[in-house]
Amino acid sequence: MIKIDAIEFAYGKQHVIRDLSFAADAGEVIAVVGPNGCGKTTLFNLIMGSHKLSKGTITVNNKNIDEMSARERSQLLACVPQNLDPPEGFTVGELVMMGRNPYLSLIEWGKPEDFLIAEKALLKTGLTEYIDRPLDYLSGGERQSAFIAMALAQETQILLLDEPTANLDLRNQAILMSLIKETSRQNQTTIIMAMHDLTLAAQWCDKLVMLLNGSVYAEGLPEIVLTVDNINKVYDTIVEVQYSTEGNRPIIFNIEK
Amino acid sequence: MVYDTCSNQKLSYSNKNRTIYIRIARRIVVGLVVILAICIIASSIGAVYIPLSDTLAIVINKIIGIKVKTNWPEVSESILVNLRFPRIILAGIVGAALSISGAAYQGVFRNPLADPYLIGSASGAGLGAAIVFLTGLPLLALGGGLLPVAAFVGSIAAVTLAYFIGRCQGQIGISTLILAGVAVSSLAGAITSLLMIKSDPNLRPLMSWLLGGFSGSRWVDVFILLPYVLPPMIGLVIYSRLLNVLQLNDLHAQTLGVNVNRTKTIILLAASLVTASAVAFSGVIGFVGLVGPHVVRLIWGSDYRHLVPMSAILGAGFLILADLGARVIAIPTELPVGIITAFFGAPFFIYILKTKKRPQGN
Repeated sequence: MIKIDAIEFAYGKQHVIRDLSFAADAGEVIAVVGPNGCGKTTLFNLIMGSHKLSKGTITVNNKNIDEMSARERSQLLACVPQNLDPPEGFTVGELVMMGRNPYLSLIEWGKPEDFLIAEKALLKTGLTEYIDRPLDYLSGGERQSAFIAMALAQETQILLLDEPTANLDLRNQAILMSLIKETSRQNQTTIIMAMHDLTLAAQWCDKLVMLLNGSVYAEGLPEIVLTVDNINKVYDTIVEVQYSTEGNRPIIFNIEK
Repeated sequence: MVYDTCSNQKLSYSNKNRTIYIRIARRIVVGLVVILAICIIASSIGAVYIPLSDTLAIVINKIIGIKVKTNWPEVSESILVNLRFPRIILAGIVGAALSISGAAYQGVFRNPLADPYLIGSASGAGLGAAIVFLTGLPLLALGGGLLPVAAFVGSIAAVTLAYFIGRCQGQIGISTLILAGVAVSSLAGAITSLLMIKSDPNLRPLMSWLLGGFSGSRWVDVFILLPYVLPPMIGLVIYSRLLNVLQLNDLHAQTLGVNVNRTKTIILLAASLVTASAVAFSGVIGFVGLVGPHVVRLIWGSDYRHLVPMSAILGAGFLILADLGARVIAIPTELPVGIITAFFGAPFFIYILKTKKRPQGN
C-alpha cells in the first residue's frame, strides 16, 4: 500500500528526517508518536508532497508519489492538517463538497453522486444537521469533524490525520476514533495519525511508529512499542505503564515530578 | 455533537444541492432584469427629463426592433441613443468589471479588503494608459487595443509589485497587502502627475479621464471594451469553484489536487486584464470592487460560485446608479463619479476593516 523507504529531509542544514522507513497495509490504523519536533508534521508534509525529499522514496501502490500529478495524488491521499484554517463565510456543506475537487473538471461544480458522497461523509461524522451552518459558528471539535468529513468525501485509500483528537473531549475522542476504525475496516482505508495521547493511540491503533530525532525508534504493536524504557528514552521523562483489563492495552501515567 | 453512523436516514442534501446551477442561474436572471430596469430609469433622468414611457418606447423600437408608438420628440431619441444609452451601458460594463475583479483579488489573496483600486492595480493601469495618452500615439492603434494593452501591462506590474512588497516569508497579511498597494498606487499616481507636468499643456482630455467618469462615452467605446472584458469575466466565473478551494490554505488546497500557483496566476491575469480594460475606458474609479462583492457576501454568503457572477451584476448596478448621481446631483455641472463611489465605498471599507474575523499576518 504505502511504503516509506529510507527518506531524508533537511530544512537548510538542519536534518529533520533521517533514514526513516516504514510501511502500512490497506485497512491499517497507524499512530505516529514521538515528542514535539521529532518530525511528525514534516513526515506528513513529505507524504503529501508539499516538501521535496532529499533522499529515499515514498510509494503508494508501488508508484512513486514524486511522479504523480497533484490531482493523481489527491485521489489517493487525503490529509487533515493540525492547524485548521477554516475559510471565512463558508458553510459545512460547502466545505465538505470541496473534498470532491480531485474528481471534478474545471467546469464541473459537482455531479449528483458527488453530492451523495459528501452527504454520506456528513452523516458519518454526525454533521448532517449542520450542512448550512457557517464554519465560523462551530465549536473547535465540530470544525475538526467538518474537516474530517471533507477528507472522507475525498474517498482516498490513505488518510493522514495530524493530531485529530487534540480539540476533542473524552466522549468525542472515542466517537472519532471509532469512526476512524470503522472507516478503515469498511473501505480498507489506511489511516496514519500523528498522536500525542499514547493511551488513546494504544487503545485504538493496530500499529505504532515511534519517532525520535527524525527516524524510527520503535515500531509494532502498541504493547511492544509502549514500554517504560522506550517512552522514558524517547520523551525524556519518567512514566509508569499499566495494562487495561480489557484487551491488555498499555495505559501510560507520567510520574515525573 | 453526536456522530450518527446509522445510514438509513433520508439523504436530502444531494437533492437540495443538485439544484445549485438552477439557483445561481435564477439569481443571475433576476439580477439582469433589475439591471435592465435600472438602466431604463437612469436613462430617463438627467439634465433633460425624458418621460419613462418615451424611454421605454425608444428602447423597444430602436434596440429590440419592435414597432410601437413613435410620437416621441426627436431630441429625446437623440439624447438617449447617442448620449445616455452608451454612457449607461459603459458604466454598467465597467462596474461589472471592477466588481468581478475585486471578488477575484479577494479570493486569490484571501483578503476581504482587496480591490483593484486599493491594491494598486487600477493606478498601475492608469499609469500605463497615461503613458499612451502623453506619447501622442494614436489611441485607436492596434484596432483600439493600444490603450487596454498598455493599461494591462501597468496593472499587472502594479499588482506584482504590491504582492512582492507585501509578502513576508511566504505569508501576506491583510493590512500589509493593502499598505503595499497604497504605496504602489501613490507611486504610480506620482509618476502619472510628473508625466503630465512635463508634457504638453493641453491636458484637458487626460485630466478629465484621470478623474474617472463616463461623460462623452460613445458606442464605439462599448464595442471596443466588450471583447476585452467579456472573455476573462467568463473565465473568472468558470474558475469560481476553484476560488472556493483556494480559501483553504495553500498546502491544504494542494492536497485537494489544485495546482495552486498556476490557478492563482490565471485568476490574477484575468482579473488584471478586466481591471485594466475598464480603467482604460473610464479612468480610475475606486471602491466598486469592494462594495459589489461584499454586498453579495452579506446577502448570499461567501461561496464564490455565487459571489463571482453576482458581484458583476451588483457592481454594474452600483456604478450605473453612482454615475446617475454624478450626472444629476449638481446639474448643470457633473461630479466625478469617483466621489460618489468613494462616498459609499469608504464607510464600507471601514466596516469590513472593523468586522474582519481573521487578523492575518502582522
